[in-house]
Amino acid sequence: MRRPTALTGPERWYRWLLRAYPREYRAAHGEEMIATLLETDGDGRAVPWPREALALVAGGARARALGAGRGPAWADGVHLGVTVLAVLNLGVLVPYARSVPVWTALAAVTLFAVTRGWVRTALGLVALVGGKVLAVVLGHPWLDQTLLPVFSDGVWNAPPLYSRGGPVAPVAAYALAFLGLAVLAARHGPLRRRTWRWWLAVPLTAGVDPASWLMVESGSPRAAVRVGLELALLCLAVWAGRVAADPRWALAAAIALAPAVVACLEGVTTSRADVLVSFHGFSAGRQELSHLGVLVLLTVAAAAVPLHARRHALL
Amino acid sequence: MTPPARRLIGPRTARATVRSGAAVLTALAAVAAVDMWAVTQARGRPQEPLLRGPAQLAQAREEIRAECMRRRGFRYVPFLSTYVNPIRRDAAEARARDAGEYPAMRRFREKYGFGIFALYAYPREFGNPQVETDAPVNPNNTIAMALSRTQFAAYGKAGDACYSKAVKMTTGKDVTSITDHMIQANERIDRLVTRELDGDPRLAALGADMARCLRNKGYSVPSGTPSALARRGPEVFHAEEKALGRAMARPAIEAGDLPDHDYFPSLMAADATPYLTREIRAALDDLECGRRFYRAYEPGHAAIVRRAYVEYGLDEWLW
Repeated sequence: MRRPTALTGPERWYRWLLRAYPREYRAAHGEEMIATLLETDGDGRAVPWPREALALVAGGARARALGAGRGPAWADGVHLGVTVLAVLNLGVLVPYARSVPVWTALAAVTLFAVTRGWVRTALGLVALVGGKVLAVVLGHPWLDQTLLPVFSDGVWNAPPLYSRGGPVAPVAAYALAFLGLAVLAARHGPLRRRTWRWWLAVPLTAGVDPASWLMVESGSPRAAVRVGLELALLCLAVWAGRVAADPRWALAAAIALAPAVVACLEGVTTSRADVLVSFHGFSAGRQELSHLGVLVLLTVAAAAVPLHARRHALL
Repeated sequence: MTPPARRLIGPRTARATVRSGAAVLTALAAVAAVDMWAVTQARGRPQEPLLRGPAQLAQAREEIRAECMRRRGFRYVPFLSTYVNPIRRDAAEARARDAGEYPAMRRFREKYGFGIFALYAYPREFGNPQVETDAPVNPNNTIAMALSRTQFAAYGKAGDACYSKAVKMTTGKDVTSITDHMIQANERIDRLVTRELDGDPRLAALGADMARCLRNKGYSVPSGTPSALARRGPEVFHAEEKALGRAMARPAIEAGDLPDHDYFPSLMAADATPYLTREIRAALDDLECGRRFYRAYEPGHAAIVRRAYVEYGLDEWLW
């Protein structure tokens, strides 16, 4: 391998830009591409043209999308959706970790098992933690002495655990994860390992249960970053779906979004039936519905684009 | 035809199943260990006495409620309020009124009438819940308001069951809820009043004089029994208060925003003044006609209330 100090100006740039491509692709074609790029670089510029740089990054991203789109779409889509649900389910419990340390730790182990592809282990843990969540939302003791309301730890300033919205949406988040894992377990095939970067999303989703997912507290940078990440990931899902002509990202987005949709429907149902909803309930307002509309629109777009796209050949 | 090959459970599947089972068992063991530690910690804390002296029954009841609620998965803070409304803080004056002494009763009625519309004209003195008072806030209100609708319903059921258990253990009475407890105690008061005061010939004679006097002044007196005479004045203004509250809530009830119940009227002090002025006049007329009657009736009535509340373990409500 050549030492970076021995590189010329344009070569260093090209090598840096080629990092947009997957590692395997770089190993197979990297040197050939560098040689071609240096050969065609007639004017001897130290820095590549922006158009050229952009084309390389776009090509790299396309290569990554096509690489990620390999294998059975539905299984990978379900696994990705369950991964996002595991992130959200862990995030909900994080601000209450001192009150429910074991359940928070179990939710973390669940996320670890899901990202590693240990489906059966994750299935058991999701059933266990989901059972506890069902008990909490219904207000019944189960297995341990978790006392309701569960107040958040000092630094988080979050409302009590599952104190907003009805019981269906939080249980739906676990039920969907359980069903997804059950389907994957029945399939008996290997699953890819998910990136550790999913753990970085956990602090952003801390204390965000399905009923409050669509609410964006004004002046909260954490909420702004969370919404930005949601939109960026969904836009990426649309783009990758189009490039790879593959519905897996749409499937994952639909699975991850389902609890928020359920929470919204539950809010509409209960707000009509209960005058005390302002104290004990959740009712979606205009801002929450707009937020949901954008997320649903992007998910539908991610599902629709593969129908009209052909798989793009790489370079 | 070749039979389809049966899928055997391979070592990989068996390992995954064992790993899954081990993970769940480890998780359950962790839950049990942390739970036992938490329970030991909770029980180890020294309990501060809530009240010293006569309210020990209520204190015991609160501690039973807290333990019962903990077993049902809810926080409950034993709480007994020692708060006394400003109107009862002059204990000697309050005792004089309870004894039916004319000067004390007159001082009260000159300012507050029967004490019905005074709730709105003097909200702080009468502990109107719509104004902030110096009463300590029950921490269980904060707990209840921190629950979701479904959790709140379960909390209500657990609360009634635990209250019922605590009352049974401390007084032997069967009640279903706090409301039922109060209703039963008040029914007991009514029965005692009917038996001991309405049957008293001296009170009946004094009551007949009072009824005659009231009729002469133009007041309607539907019943001449002592308890009915004592209730007559307040009941007239309670009925007016109820009608006013219902009229105010009618638009919201008709629009479906409020359930069809009776509501307290929403009155500012200035709005309540005309009603209170009429009430004061009627209360003073009532006192003038019943001056001798109240002197005989009120001590007996106060003693019955005390007896019934002590019997039902509600002595914290006595002031």
